[in-house]
Amino acid sequence: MEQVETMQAVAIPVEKHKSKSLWQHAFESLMRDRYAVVSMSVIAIYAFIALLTAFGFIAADWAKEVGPSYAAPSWDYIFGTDIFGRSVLAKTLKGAEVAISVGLVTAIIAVIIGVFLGAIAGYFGGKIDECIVWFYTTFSSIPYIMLLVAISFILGKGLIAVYLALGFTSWENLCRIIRAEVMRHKDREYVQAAKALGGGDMRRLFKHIIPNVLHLVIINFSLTFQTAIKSEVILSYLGLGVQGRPSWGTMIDDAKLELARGVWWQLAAATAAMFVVVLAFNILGDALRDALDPKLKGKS
Amino acid sequence: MSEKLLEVKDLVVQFRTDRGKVTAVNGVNFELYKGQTLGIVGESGSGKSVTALSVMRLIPNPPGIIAKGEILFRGQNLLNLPLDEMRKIRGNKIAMIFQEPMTSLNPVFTVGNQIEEVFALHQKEFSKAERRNQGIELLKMVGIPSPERRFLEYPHQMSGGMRQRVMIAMSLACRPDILIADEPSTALDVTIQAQILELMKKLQSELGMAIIMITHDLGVVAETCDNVAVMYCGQMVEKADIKTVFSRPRHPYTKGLLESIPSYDSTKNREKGRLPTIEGMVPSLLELPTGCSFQDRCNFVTEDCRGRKGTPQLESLLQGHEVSCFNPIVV
Repeated sequence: MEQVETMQAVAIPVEKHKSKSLWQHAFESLMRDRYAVVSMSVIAIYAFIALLTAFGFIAADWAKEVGPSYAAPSWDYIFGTDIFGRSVLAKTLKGAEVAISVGLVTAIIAVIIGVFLGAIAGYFGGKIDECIVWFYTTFSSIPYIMLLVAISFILGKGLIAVYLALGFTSWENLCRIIRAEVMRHKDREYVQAAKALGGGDMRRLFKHIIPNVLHLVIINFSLTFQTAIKSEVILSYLGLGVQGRPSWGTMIDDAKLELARGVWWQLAAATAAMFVVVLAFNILGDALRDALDPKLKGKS
Repeated sequence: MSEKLLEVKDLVVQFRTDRGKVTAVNGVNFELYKGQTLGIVGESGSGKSVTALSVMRLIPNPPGIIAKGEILFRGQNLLNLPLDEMRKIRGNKIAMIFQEPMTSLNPVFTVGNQIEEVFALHQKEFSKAERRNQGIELLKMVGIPSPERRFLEYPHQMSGGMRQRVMIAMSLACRPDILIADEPSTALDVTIQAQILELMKKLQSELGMAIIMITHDLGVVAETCDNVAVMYCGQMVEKADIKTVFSRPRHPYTKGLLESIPSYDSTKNREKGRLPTIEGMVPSLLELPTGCSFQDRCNFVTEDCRGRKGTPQLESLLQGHEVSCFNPIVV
């Protein structure tokens, strides 16, 4: 056996040899998944549009009147116009900026809180665990929308409030998962071995255990991202969302009154835009789980 | 006699369970000298691993506590050390390798990365290049072919034997005085087992460390150890040098263990060619009988063993041959 390995070693020059980590393997299997690649491309396009609008390259003049009020979709106005004669296409594009930024910031906040609390609860156990479990069960027993509404009321209206409100309400699930995973990992031999080699608590937790549960964080990140996009729409629909700039939520909110007059295009544009990105995130989330979860490996 | 490295005195380790307190290790004493290999033998649950973990102070607490005793390393009681002092000893002065090489390495880092981490913990003055070179040197030392290449590989790319070699390399990174090997070869197949034991012996003679070899395999003991301690239900029942234990065991349990080793030579002491076994079961540590723990399985049991004379203690019979039995086998 070892002779064979020695022979291989001779055959492969050292410089060319580069070992693949589990991450690289996961990335490769993700790249082999056609749906995942398509959904990642879709998300990339959305992100690109969001960046372009954020820096004012496109849809910067969304507020400009381009035609008559409520013009139906036509070659001149692809998605039609709204009550003030503004282009619905420009608004939809501009809305991507809000959606992507809300998704991203919310997911980051949720990951930071969820991973930190989950990790220390799972690792240290005892009183710390009890407190954190009590905290998140209490927190998640409050109806989600109520909590969102309450937080948005406290923080006032605006984008920052939306970020924080969604961030503070999206971490429990991840916290629960990470807590359970850390509990499972902390008694593993490799952690024991790290302890036997003189590693302290923080090193064992953050250097050894966290990288081993990171795949769950990534999967959860993508799911939180799309949930946040949907929640932003709900918040805006309830009038608690973004102000003074178009978002898909406010567009759907506007459509409440328009639908009765047969103006469907604003609703359709916003819904379609949201539908595509949420679907893409869901497919990506599934694909990530397939690629990253070793237990599902080998199953096609 | 060479320098005394470790002395364990009257060690008692208890675990709190739902059904009461379990004494996993009950009054264990042993000494370890430089360059010596001590084998601790016993079946599952006899307390051998717990004894080893106590030396490293790795007993999970709760539920376990070291209730009594002293563990003197070069005269210093490890049980009184503050935790950060203890961490400087772990992996540096006393190192440990575990039974499961397949899971003892962190799957998400390269092997090299993990070896370098030991240096990062204990040899802070090492530069990056030094760590790398020393790491590759270690892999070479434990007999891994093309170490430069293996250094960059992940644990999943290696076989069990390779990983155990890596574990040994990691544990020897800081040239420890004592290496505790908790069933290092149990999870490996027989040829690899022999290679690993051979490697440990070779490294011991090169580096001069003492080894505590924990195993349930008397073959491993015969091959590697200088002294043997046999454990049963948390107590040491017999302690002697290797030759004495194998040729003149005095405790009925040791004798039973030795007799139940399968042998090609079936005419020797064998009736009808059947392998002798030790009758009965290990008693639950929660309901140990009064007197000797081995009484229900012993062929030489007397009223003394059933508690009339209390619990048997290790007593020295002949030069360095200690047995805890009221009725030791006469040879």
